[in-house]
Amino acid sequence: MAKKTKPIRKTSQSLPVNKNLYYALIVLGLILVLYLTMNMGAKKQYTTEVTPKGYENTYPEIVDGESLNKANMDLDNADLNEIDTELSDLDTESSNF
Amino acid sequence: MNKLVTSFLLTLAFLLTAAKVSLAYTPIATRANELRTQSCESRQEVIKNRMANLLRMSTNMVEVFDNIKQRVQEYYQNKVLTNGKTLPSYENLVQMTQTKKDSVQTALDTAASDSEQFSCASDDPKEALTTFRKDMQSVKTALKDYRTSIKNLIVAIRTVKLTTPTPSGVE
Repeated sequence: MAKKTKPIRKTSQSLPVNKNLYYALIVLGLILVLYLTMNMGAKKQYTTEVTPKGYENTYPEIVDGESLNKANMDLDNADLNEIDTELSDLDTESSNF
Repeated sequence: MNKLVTSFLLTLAFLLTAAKVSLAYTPIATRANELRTQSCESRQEVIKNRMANLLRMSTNMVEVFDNIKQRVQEYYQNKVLTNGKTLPSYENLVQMTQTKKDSVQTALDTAASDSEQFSCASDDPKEALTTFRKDMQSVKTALKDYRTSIKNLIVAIRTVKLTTPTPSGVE
């Protein structure tokens, strides 16, 4: 009968070891979740800030005649022919069907 | 009797030849369609991306023009009006820029809507591309007009400053 109770004792003795292991795993898991959350937040910030780029979203304030002239020049520099270039690339892609 | 047999055989030969020809041609036509569809499907994603890029590029241009227009209007309100000068045609010129901007937006909306019609599963995917091409040409023309209207506003405001030049803040 005494021999039969031994395994029960062993189990109760091994519990604290497992508990520590569980705590360690929980802490590691929390660290991992925290890291992933921060990383995803950074990625999200990157996509919202950088993806729409191509042209500036804000234009510098016009303070005098010089900056008015610059605004006029910037308008001229907007290359509308890029649309034609992209359209001819589209034609090339669709030439075989 | 011989004549009857001969004519029967000739008719049979004709029918067999006709059947052979039709059998030979149908697979070629089907095969051509299959190849065309495969060619379209292999490029479908690229084409859709290019369409999206074109729309995005045009939208970005509109945003740039909007920002410049807004700064020009701020300049007029903060610098020209506060110095006691006015441009009689200002309101008309601003109204013109808004009309042109609305035209760009309408053209862009049409192009975006038509770009969604493109699919290799449709009967004639090339037709959808032709329509989109025409839409984008309209967008380009509308953008050009919008730009010109803002330039007209700038030139008019610049004229006011040139006729009565004063250092900023000093009347």
